[in-house]
Amino acid sequence: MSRLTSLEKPPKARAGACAPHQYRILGRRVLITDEHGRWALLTRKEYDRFLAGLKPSDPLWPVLQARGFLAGAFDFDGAARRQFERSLLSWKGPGAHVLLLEGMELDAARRIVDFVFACPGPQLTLELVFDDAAPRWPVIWFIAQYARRRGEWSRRPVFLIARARTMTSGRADFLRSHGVTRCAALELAGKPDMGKGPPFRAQRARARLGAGAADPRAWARWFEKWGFESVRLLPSGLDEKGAAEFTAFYAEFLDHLIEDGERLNLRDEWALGMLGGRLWNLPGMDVLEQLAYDGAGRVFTSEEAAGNEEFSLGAVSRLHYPDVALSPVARAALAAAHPDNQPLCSQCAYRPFCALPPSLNRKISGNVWGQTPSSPACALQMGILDRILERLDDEKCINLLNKWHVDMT
Amino acid sequence: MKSKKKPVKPAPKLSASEALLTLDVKRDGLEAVFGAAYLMMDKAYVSLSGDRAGKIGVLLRAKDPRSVKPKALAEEFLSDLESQKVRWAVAKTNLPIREYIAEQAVLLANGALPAPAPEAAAEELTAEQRAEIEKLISEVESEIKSMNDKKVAADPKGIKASWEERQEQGNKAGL
Repeated sequence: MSRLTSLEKPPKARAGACAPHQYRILGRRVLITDEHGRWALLTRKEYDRFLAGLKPSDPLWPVLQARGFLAGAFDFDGAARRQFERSLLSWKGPGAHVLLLEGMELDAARRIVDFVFACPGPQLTLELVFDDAAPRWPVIWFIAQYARRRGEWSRRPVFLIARARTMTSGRADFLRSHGVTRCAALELAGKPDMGKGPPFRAQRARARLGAGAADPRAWARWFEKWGFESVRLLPSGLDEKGAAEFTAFYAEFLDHLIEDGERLNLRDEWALGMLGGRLWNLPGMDVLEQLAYDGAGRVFTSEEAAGNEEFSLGAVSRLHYPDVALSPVARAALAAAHPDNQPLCSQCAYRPFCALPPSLNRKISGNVWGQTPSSPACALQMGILDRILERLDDEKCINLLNKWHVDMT
Repeated sequence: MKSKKKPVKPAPKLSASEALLTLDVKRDGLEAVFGAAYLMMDKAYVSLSGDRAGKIGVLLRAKDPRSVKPKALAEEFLSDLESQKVRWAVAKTNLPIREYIAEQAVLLANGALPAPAPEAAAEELTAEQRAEIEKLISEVESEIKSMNDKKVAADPKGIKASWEERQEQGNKAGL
């Protein structure tokens, strides 16, 4: 069976019966989604009836009519509104700006912050990335103060995140008192030692699965114990084995969050990013979700692309935001990112929630378009969505998503 | 009265390393054949040959012949082909709906959205704001100076000093 999954002996689809949708086999059920993120979980028999054309007397008719899956009773205005809200027609600009502080001087930091504030968008997030806070402290201190002030002047909400491997508790406290979210870059190895905390007190974690990372439930308890509010798990490597190991670990980790959802305050950043149903919410999506800046003040389409001249948009000292849209690099990235332009993605039930960043495709396949059927990144993201969406008829799962303010109704 | 013929499943020609399927484009649809071929890319090399309007030959060769046999490849291709037919049938019959929705969404965007107001660029800061930035930078510079001073203080015995620096200090001290 291909990655899209296929139906055994599928019936003929009757013209005019079902509205635009994609399907995916999840265990013994068939998940159908439309391109705006509405969904239904059906049995195989129900799906066959749906393809053949439902009669209004069928108990499934009102369910699928309400969710916009019946061509004969289609809400065109509602669909157009959802299309407008979720397509690039509503995109305001990259919301996340990743500042790679290695080798960054004050002057470059100031220019970068100025450039960020020249970008449109209702709110801005500046994520400062460094290994150790000590050698970068003046620049961190400056950006924390300056970006806050620029935010007040531009009357836009500004979110600051400091992602590091290590920092002293004094510096972590300073950042906390200045409203900067601390994110710990961690590597999970083996089972957690519950008595040993993270290198510094942080609200978020970017946790890469290291050698022999085991017992996902215990790791979830460890994150909870040490006060983390959200976690983004990352695979040990982007190959078939890494994707498979990650998916298995993630499944158990998510199971724990769902089962203990009422009590836990830990959120999964994959689910938050993907189920938002907008291309510009997907973590690491070139240009649409983020731009990245290196120490020399060069602008790249994403953190993944940083350092690769092919993805350079120019230097902040000379680049103006409107030029980004005219850049062939940005245009190529946008074209390659859009699921409509990818043969597999355009037929995938996860199309409303998923896409691969072109810079990641470049890394894996050697070009921005990638080769989705053999891409381990595609397998990984599909694995994540399989784990979440196969539980959409589980009340606990829906309650947890509601708690995270993810609307899947 | 015409009798309904049950569609015949194409039989693959198998060799030790390859499977060859001959498909009728009119019956199977060109898009469905292309779609099924594309989906095989994770496990097989696929070569297409023949006439786009008539018969197409699909040659499948496993990327890892030890794990997948040609017969299994051919069966998987045919299974995906059937599903591709369903996907393309749904897509084609709904094309007018999707086009209409896209048109309406563009109209909504054009009519309902005011032009975005330009954000304040760095050059457009007021004199007061510029003065505040200068003040902030001077504060950072004094922070850097105090950090550097602390570094000096943290090395009272001059262990971190280079040989030239120690020689210079020795000369100053008249040693």
